[in-house]
Amino acid sequence: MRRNCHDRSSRRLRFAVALAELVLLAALSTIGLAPSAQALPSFARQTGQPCGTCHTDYPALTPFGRRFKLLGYTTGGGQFRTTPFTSNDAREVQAEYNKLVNYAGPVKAPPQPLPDANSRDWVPPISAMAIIGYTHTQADQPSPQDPLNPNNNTVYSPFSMFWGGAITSNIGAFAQVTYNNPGSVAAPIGSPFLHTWTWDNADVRFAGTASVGWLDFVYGITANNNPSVQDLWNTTPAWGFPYAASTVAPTPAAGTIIEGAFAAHVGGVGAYTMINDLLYLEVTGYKTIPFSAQNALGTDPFGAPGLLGNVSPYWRVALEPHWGRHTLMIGTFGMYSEVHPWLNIAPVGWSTATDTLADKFTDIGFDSQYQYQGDNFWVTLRGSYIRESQRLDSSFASTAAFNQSNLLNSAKLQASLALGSDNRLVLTGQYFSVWGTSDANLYSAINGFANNVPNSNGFMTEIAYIPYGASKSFGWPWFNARIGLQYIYYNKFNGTNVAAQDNNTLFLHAWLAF
Amino acid sequence: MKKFILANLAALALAGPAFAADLAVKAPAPLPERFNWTGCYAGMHVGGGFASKNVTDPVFLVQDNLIGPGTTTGVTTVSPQPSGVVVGAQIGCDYEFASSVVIGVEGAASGSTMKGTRLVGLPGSVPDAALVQVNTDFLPSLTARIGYAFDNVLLYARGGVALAGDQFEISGTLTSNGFGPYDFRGLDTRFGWVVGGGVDWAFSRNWSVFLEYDYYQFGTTNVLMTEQIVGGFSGLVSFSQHVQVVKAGVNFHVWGPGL
Repeated sequence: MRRNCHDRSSRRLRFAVALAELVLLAALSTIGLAPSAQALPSFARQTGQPCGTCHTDYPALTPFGRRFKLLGYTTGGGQFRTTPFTSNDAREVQAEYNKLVNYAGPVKAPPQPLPDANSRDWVPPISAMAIIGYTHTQADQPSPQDPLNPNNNTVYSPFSMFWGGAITSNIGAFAQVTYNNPGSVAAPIGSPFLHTWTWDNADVRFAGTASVGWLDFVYGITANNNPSVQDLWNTTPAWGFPYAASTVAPTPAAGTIIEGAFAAHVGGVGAYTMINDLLYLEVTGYKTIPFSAQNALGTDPFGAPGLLGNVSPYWRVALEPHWGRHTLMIGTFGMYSEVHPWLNIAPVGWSTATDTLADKFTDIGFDSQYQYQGDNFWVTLRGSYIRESQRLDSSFASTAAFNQSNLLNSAKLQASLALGSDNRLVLTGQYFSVWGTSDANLYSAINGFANNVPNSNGFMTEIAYIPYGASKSFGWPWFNARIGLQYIYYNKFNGTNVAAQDNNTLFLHAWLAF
Repeated sequence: MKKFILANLAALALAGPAFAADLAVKAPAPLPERFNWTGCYAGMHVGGGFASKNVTDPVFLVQDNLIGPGTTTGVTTVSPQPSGVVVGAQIGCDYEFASSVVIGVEGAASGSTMKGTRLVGLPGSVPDAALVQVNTDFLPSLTARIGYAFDNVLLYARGGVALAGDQFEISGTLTSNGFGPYDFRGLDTRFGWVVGGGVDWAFSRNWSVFLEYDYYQFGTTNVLMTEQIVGGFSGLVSFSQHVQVVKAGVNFHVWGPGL
């Protein structure tokens, strides 16, 4: 009993210390430096816009932000030159920017005329971000957790650096390298290819515009490393809510392939177009990066389920009508993958060989988003559903799977309210569910499941505070901040609702971008 | 002033005389704007699905797996007739030519409650019977459509590729050899084709409702059925199917920014 009291008081003390650290960091970023907050500050420097022009709650995009991305991160308008080259400097893109302005109510004209584009300074579009988070789970995590505590951990991770902005007047990039805190010893042991530094989301784009008769096109090419990282809406996996998550809390083990299984393990090249500012079409092909190249980029090749046998096609269709302050999107996306599983990923005796048989995954997703811009607020409703058909020829033959065919579904429903311009408060709630067919081997107790099913579901809520959303106060456009308190409630976790709430997670975090 | 008067005079001269008949003529009323099907749309639909499936050979699967090889003689095919509700959504784009011919492309996806069962006797384990159950819960398609527009009424036909998400189950209890309950299950997502036709009525500038019939054909395929209760038993069963769907829906039409 005394020990429990001691544990509780010790826990309270750690919580208080963590809270104090977060408050201090937040104070440094928002008061001491008195900055204006920007999403990716390099984007803000380039466009001359505050973060609230592109983001309702970063990285969630407004219609303006989606078009900035569509145009290849090249739109200018800021006090700095968009590219290092003394060319015509995005004359075409500037015209597109003028169109974008219609989507952003709070955008203000520069107080004084900017100098000629070519006579402005050029600053490399480099940014960085750090997330410092305190994680508390309802029950302690099983030992050993060294170097982490069984509970109440404050982790300074991830830390990322970005190239975010134009390269030429038609080419731009969002490229991220990330430092991840080393995991606990309880994490899957033994891959000899675990790294702390790794390349992260990357999306390099070429974009242009054209008119054919009564059709206006924005067209482009994307080269990226994560299916859906190139997408414009926050309903697809790469940029879906939650935007910041604890790196030490337990999370459901089952997920569809398109939900990040091959993030940073693949390279893809695709073509896209937006027709009449209404219909978005995209096709991209992905191929796994060679084993040694993944390792050189800091990615653990064994972190993916295997290698893709052929080029995996990814598609995206979205219809986005907008009227007045309303924007609606209805879309579909998906991918077909043939995965050759690793034959041996044991710490000793591992092999780069993969099975000649393949597991085939067909992911078909449907998504929708409604966004309303009020005078001083944004309302966003999102929904997505992914259905994955699995034909597990390899896993069935190796008895890793009991069934040759399985189904896995993932659904999310979300509502978000962003109140205020500066001192923005963002309230987000989401229901999530993963469910599928039972498989005695794939979803066995050894793999962390109960009842031989992959099912998990629950609710996620978050309140976030963004001190500067619309203004350009001191420090602009170099800093940004977001403080969030997130709570995840599990009704079912990895196949069971018995003790599912033990995994409920409170995550208090400060997100600093500079 | 002199110039003004001269100008008025000239105007009167050019106007010519007025006749009584002229006074009766009113300005012609503007023709009602013809509905233009060129654009994109998104909407939802609901309807009924009626499938016909042939399952061969559930008796062989159960008897030769669970009783012993060679137990089954002959071939048995059972034909459940699943039916149920079909609910889904669609996105499409059309182009209307000056001749009123409309061509377009549409992606649609439906969830379905189509389910059917049949009991089949097991001659090798009289009086036992196996329950054959087939479900189709997913029915997406990508089709081209061609039609003719009578102003705001479009008659059309469509055709293209389709997918069916199917679930199969053969279950029961074997009493003859004391095996007890068994449950074979299998899944399949198969490609096929679809043809259909319907009528779309635009009742406002942005909205239309439609009524449509579609015929889906998914051919024949073998599905590996795996026994779930005891484990260690599996076998192929052949399934063929076609599906008929009657559905009604609503579409919201848009083209270009600002609607």
